[in-house]
Amino acid sequence: MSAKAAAGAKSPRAVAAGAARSNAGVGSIGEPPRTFQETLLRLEQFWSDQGCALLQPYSSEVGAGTFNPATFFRVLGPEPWKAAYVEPSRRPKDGRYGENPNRLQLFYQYQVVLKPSPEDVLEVYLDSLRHLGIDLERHDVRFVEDDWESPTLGASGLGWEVWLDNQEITQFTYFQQTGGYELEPITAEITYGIERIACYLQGVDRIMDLQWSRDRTWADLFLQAEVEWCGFNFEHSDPTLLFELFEKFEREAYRLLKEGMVLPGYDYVVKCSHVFNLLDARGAIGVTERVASIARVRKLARAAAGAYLKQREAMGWPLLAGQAAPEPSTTRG
Amino acid sequence: MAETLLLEIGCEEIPAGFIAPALKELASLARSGLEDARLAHGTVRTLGTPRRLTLIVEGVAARQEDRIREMTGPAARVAFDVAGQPTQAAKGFAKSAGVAVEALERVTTPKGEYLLARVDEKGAAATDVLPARLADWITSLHFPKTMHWNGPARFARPVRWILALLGGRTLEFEAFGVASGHRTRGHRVLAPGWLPIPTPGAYETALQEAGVIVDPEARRARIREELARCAATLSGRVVEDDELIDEVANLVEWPEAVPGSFDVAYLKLPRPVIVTAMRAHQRYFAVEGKDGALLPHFIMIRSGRGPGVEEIRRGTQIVLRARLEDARFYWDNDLKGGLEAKLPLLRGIVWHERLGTVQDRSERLVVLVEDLARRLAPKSLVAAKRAALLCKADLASEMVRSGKEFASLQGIIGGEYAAASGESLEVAQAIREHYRPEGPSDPIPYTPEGKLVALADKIEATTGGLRAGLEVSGSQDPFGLRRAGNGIVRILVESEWRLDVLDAARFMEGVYDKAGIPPGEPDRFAEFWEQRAASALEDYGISSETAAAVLAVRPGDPVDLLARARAIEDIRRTSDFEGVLIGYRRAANILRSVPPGEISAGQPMAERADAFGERAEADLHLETKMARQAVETYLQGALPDYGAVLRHLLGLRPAIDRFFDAVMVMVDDPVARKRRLGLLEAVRQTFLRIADFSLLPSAPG
Repeated sequence: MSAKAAAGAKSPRAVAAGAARSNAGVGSIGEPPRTFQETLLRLEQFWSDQGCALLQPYSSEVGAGTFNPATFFRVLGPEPWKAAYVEPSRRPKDGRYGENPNRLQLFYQYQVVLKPSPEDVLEVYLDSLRHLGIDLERHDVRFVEDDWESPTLGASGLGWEVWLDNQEITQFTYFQQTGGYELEPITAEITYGIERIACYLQGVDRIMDLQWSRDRTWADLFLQAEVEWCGFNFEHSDPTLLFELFEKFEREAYRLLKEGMVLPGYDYVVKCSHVFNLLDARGAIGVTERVASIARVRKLARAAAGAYLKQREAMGWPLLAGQAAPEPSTTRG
Repeated sequence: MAETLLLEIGCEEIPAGFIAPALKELASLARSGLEDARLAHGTVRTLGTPRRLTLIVEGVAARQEDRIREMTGPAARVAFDVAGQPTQAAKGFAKSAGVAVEALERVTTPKGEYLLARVDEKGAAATDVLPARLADWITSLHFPKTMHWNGPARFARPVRWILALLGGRTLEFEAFGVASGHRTRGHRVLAPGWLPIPTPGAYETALQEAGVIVDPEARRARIREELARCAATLSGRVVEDDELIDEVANLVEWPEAVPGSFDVAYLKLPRPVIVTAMRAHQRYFAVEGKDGALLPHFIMIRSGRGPGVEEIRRGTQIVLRARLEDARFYWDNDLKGGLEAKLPLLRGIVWHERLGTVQDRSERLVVLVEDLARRLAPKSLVAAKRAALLCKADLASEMVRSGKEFASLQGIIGGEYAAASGESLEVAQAIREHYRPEGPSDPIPYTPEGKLVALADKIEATTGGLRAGLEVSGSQDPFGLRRAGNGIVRILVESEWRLDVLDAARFMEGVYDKAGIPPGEPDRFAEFWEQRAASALEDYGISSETAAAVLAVRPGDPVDLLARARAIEDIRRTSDFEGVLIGYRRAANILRSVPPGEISAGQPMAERADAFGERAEADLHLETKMARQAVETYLQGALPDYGAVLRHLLGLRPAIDRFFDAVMVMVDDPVARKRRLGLLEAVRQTFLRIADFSLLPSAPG
């Protein structure tokens, strides 16, 4: 651990911004959480109260919560779905050896998927911020156009980055397409950048200084891992092995999908995607090759999405059971 | 009684760039829709914010105008029986038209005689007509990108409410699965609940109280005031940025300025990098001191009012610091080994599958720039070659490759890296400006080295692209070839640099041949070039006929083209010119009617006039010869005085006129005929040194 990082880890914590105010906004539960884990607990509680199934992270390396089958597959087809979960997300290229206060190669997303998208979804989302103790009247909240696209998943949607005082704290997307398939009904995907939000709530400028639990900071728990993984991503990974793995995982994914093993097959799609990200971070992929590799993963994702739709249809869309077909709702403005 | 119509489409946040065009379309849909509905009305205006598109039409008539509608019925021959009594067909028609049988008229058409009913149609109430129309307008709006959220309807973002009033009455309809009503919503945070609007007149004030300035112009004005107020507290002034003001005005419902600062240490980054870090994603306004140097401050426009300035400042500073920190990370990394160390990486970046990598391209630029410098600016040769070699190196830098906001600074970044790597000022500046001009309002490079590299870049891109089969068609210019072509013209014209671009293109073809790049279709560049040059001449105010006339002769050199075209435009409408054109056309017509084998200019002419059958022929011969000599003398100058050249041609008018008055060309004597045809050809050739005058139509009337 560098001296700088060690010093940072021991610096005094700032007092939570606006913690002592009395006139918190509607739906607020008063003071902001003091630790990262409390922040998570608040989100879990909020979305549990909204009727979401609280799930756990996926067990394979992914770049975002979207890769979790709880999003990638569940947004497909007519079945309704409401879920929320934390996703440790790996972006090998984004690491800075823990030296940049805001950039990590592994960060946590809090992912909420609501299908069909409720009419008051943005109001509910703002309530979740109040629930985190953010007094919206003392901040600038903005929905800034951001059309999201995952070229590897063949997924795209329209929506916004949500800015809290110009910091992107959430990506909000109305999914339009996944695995190349047009979607109906439409899912609203809410992806909170939890570190960013926690920094804000705790009044610290560096992720490394986040109070994770009452007596441990982010640096105590993860700084060494961050430095080491950056070393791996940028310097020590073995491109020859990774290229080999990419080929093998790709073959395995096709084999499994062909045999009707939808979820196991998809696991290998996800592995392929991660291996690609590692190669990319290592600078081992040329420009044209890069485009070609992304197209290969996208083709896999499409195959997986198609296999899933076929499977669910054959099962008679089980989650539709006991549900009236969703009708377009009407409100009087 | 006329009432005001108010329609507000309440949405989730619409992208800033979509708002103004949508409002324009909404107004035009309303104008044509109201006319079509025969509803008289007053002023049509629109208002809007990210969350609402609003239409206000004053003085909408309470009822449609009445009209008499003519309905054509069955043919007269089947409408009455032999006794002249109306048949079932006539009665049925009368009934369906709602008139008495006796009221039916007859009308004669080309197909025969038919029954006609004149139906007195009372105008319906506006409240009955408008709902369906409004639903139609709002579902007809177009956006660059639309989405689904609930069923098949598409809009820029989900529609969540519709407010529709005619005076105090709600116009009820449904669109996008939303029923219209009499309520709107205020600012998301300041007044999140429903806000009833009793009448259109109460709308703007009610929203103002609910934290929304609904008029975009008023928001822009307020942003300007806020910026000025805030900059004064920072002892600086805002770096002018109207484009950013327009954008920010459509990102907020209630603009208010919040000033912030960053660490002075970041000021060592190049100014464009700092300004881009503030502007591109954050939409902060940069602040500079009286001396024009950036201050370590910025101004952000929040959406809202009241408490929280400290909290917001803190957040905006943190996010800017992260961006500047990224820039510094790229800057430090990229400078390891200097700009030159990036060159080998260009081998890994494919330019075009047929044209090789960016490194191949850089090498060609060096060769071309050397050729250009020798012709145009020999003193700049060394620096221009160095700049050409390095100008694409920043494409391999982290700063540009990151794909982040700094990618838009390609070229500029290269220039900064060059300067920081110890390259000369000239080299750095040439790299910085070699993408210029990037559009019609972007200036050309300032330095000769910059101009040379920019020219080479564009000539290489267009000749290479066309050789590789890239297309320029219609309004599409996916590879920027058209823009590059326009850039070539502008650089040459505005620098008054004489270059035959077709020559340079031939030079490049040789370079591609040598590199083993397969040849493309012949003449593609020449065609492309003539189109570019013609369009450029028109941009300089030259008529399309004159442009075509000068382009028919020596089309490669834009400065020369423009000088010739301007000289012709200056005298085109004079009577002397019209006169000489008549003679010229007459000569050209005669020559066209004769097999080419019979014509050869410069037939032997005896020096003594009496050797000619006609005095006039001898005169024309002599005058043409003198004019030709004068023209040739002028053409040898650096940039000929084409006005003077044209005056020499005009001077031929009396001789030409006398010739045609006195001399028959197509005589039986083959020697005389051949000699006279030869003389006319000599006249034509003399004119053709300047332009193809046969492409100029004579003045109307």
